[in-house]
Amino acid sequence: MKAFRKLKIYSAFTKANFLLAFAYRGSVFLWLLGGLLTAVMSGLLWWAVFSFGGSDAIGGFSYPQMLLYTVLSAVCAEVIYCGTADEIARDVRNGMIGMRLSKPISYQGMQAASAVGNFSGKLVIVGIPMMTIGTLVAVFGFGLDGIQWYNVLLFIPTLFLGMMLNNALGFMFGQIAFKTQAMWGVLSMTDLFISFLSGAVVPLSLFPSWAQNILAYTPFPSVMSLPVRLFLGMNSWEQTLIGLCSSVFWIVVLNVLGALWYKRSVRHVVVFGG
Amino acid sequence: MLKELRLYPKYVAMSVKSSLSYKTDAILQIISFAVTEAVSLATIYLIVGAVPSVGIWTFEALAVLFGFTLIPKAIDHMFFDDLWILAYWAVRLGELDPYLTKPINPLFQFLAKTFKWAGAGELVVGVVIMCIFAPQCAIVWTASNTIAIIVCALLGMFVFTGIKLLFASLAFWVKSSGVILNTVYNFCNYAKYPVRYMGKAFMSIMFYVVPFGLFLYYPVELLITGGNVWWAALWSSIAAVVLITLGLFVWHRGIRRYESIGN
Repeated sequence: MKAFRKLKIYSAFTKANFLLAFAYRGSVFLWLLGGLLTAVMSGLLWWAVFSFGGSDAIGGFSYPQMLLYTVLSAVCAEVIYCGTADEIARDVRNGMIGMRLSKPISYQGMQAASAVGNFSGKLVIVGIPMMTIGTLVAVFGFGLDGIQWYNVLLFIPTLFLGMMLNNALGFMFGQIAFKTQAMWGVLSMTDLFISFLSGAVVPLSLFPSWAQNILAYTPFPSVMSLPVRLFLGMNSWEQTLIGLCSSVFWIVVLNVLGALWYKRSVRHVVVFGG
Repeated sequence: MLKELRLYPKYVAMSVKSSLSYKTDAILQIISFAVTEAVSLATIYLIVGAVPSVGIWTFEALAVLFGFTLIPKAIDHMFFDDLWILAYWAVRLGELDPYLTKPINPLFQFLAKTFKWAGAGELVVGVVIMCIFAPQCAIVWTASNTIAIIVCALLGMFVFTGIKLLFASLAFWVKSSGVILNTVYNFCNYAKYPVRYMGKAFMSIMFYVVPFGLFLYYPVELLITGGNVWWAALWSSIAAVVLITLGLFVWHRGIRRYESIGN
């Protein structure tokens, strides 16, 4: 009963953030336009790289696969971006953190619940339409094959885990906000860092093999590379299973670390006024 | 104009002093920019490194190109960073009010008040990368080409500022033009690739539609192939004059439309 009440409290944050995604549907058009331009430029760029390479595959990707990988990773990056670290930075800067601390709910739990809502909202409004268009163009326009319905279905929960990982990482990096005001630079650095190491910028199979081996032991590949490769049907069942287990493992570890760090950083909180 | 010139060093000094009062912040900003640029260079290395070689563009040559593209961007970043604020929220939140009440050019006041250390970090990274990789590229450094490439970097700054002013001023009509500006601005990242070898469509877009190829890529191509870099300087100056004029025109039209907020 108690657990159910708790769930009800946190689900309010989920619902609010789900609806918030729809409030910005006007800006989706602008985002779409920017995304389209970027997709065209990267498509041309990869086309040139493939024609220089002279072979049909680069890093295990055919040209249509690379094209769809680029589009999907850009869309997924938008969908799983939960802004947890930005929220913490804002709360610390304008003193809202004091209000948050005075309420009998966990700040970390609230952030996670908001992230879930944000994810579902963006998935509906941006993710599904754009991924459908991208896939149709790749399949019928560029002759992509290997997309299976079961992979597409499994993709959504895998991406969900990727988002939870991203949220946990964001919560950890957000703790830096308690130490500095220069969060804009720090956040743009950590965002780029996570997206680079998770394969959102360049597929991980193009990395040198030593880097791939190291990355396999980190949470980053599960954020982006795992779900998108799964969608494209490029992962074996074994790889998918290991990837999912490692996502769950890292979600637990990172959240525990985040909670510990948060406990330390709230001791430093200084809020003006009453 | 004279008054503005006299005031400018004071504005910069004020901004430098206030940002130095948070030393960790200044250092963190510089570090984040250095790391960001290192990651972008690694991206280019991974993409272009996937194929043997692209025309004249070895990785060392591409690194020189990368370093050069950072320089005009960095100088613009140091002095004119507040245009982003204009684009994202200054119009919507009515933040321009204080500048319109003083007898000094509002655009000058708005831009002069901020000096960004992060830009200085970017500038250092760009120069260091160029110094590391240029000796490995068999570039013939004639006096004329050396001066020309510096001129190109300075002109490039004005092109960046012009583009930012133009698209940020659109905010006077649409309230927040940050997303538009960001999209256009990010096209500069494609000038870090061997533009001329990337196919006709890519090249035409970078040379004729958005001029980033013209003032970022072209000077370095001429430098590496031993051409006359002054041709690039000529194109850069045309791009700079056109975009600054357009930017100022849209700003002046826009500021007349500016309506404050509230009561």
